[in-house]
Amino acid sequence: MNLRPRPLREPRNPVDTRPVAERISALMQIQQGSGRVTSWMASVSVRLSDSFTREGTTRLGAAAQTAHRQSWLPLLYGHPASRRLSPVLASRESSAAGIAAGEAARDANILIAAVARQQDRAAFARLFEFYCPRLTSHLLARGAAPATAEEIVQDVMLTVWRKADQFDATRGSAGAWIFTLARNAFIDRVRREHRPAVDPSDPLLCGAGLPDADQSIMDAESQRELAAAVEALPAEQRHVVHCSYFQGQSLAQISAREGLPLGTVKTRARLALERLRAMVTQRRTT
Amino acid sequence: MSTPTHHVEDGALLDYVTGAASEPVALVIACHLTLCPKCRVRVAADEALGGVLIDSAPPSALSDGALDRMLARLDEVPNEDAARPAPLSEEPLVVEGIPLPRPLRPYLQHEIQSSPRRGPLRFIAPGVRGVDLPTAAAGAVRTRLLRLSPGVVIPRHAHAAPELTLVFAGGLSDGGEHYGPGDIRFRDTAAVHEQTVDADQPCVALVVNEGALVPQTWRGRIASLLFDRGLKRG
Repeated sequence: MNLRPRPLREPRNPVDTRPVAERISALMQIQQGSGRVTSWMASVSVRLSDSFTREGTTRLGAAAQTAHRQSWLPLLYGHPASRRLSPVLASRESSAAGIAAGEAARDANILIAAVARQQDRAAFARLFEFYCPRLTSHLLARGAAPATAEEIVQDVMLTVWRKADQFDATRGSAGAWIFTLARNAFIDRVRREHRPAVDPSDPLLCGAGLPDADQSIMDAESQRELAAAVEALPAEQRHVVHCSYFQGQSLAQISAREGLPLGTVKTRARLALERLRAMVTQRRTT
Repeated sequence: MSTPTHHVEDGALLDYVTGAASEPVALVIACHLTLCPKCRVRVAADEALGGVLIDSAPPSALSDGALDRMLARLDEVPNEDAARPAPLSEEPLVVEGIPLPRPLRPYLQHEIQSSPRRGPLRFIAPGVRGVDLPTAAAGAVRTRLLRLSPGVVIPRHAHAAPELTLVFAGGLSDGGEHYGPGDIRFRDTAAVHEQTVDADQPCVALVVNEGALVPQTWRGRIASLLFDRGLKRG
């Protein structure tokens, strides 16, 4: 058995190290220049002015172009204003949720890195505007009351703000991290239960020294493929995946609700997971 | 070091990842994951899928001022110390000389501290000692850490509800299969079984019973009286 310590390695897609604020403000300048700045953008620019216009206005030009090319735009999908940003975006939005998921993943990693590195409030605001509406849908589907859902979203995002430096993109996507934070907060706040979890510093942790045991490299491309693979599942398998992840139902609850034998629900879940897991683990081992 | 050969089934692992699993079942799975790198990889893959599903979830409307309320909270001083109970000890968790996975600590710490000399385990039946773990669970669910003496046989019985067993030390045979350290055993209600502890060493295991034993023999009936003492009938 290979017990050498896990090598420190760079993420497969090295992140853009320019401050996100710079990229955001560069993009806003484009919009203002073309006379299409919206009231929403104006309000954001006032709210976050110091952190990004100061930096951004001095470094336009090439930065503006790269900001536009290296799209962080899908993070704005949740807001109507974003639809006015680019016709390319509008078509993407309607064509493939998979693309949105893939790009959101890459961009969220960049934004979290910016929060970790320099407490970048503009980057955090982008994260919030992307994840708050999605987490809210998810928590409402789980059965949280609207007020509780907002509290949980705030708790989750506050944890993202405070623990951004502990997020390790080589071990999982930003979305996966935020999903687990939301799950734990829901169990804590709504069910009022303790969530037993593996302690990474447990002396009994088996195989911690193996290079691959605790890594799950999900770059933007594999995120996109995974999202597309979910869409491509047979309808009944996709339904089980949706009910369990999005509505937080146990397989037993799904079986009772739909009047299906538990074995059938389990088989559907197993077939779906085998296919989807293979995609994640293949990436890791190739 | 050998890794477990009996793993968490897909459906149970999915319930663990989505948070739908009950606390006792999640505890058994977290302990197994500590001992099983293979299942940790499966969990990481399933959580990645959760991330993808969140990223492509249908957004609901952002309520007015939600971002402002959020930004206003960023400078709050964390008051985690006040809200949380005293931090758990960092020392290795050991019961009767057997090191146990950390997820068990919050459930055992009180018992260990209150009887440092005798240890937390109490008489249940001849050759069987154990302790009830205070998990949040409805009805007749019972979570126990058991120590079974070498060669003990738990007579033929069925279960009113599923049973989950995770071995930490020693081993036991059940239905033609052998379960060693880290191995997990899911038992459905219908199956009648008999468990035999390895003859050479005691077996320490975490057992979750979602209902009472259903004895099949007169010896089993005596065993069930002892095993299910104090069980809340749900």
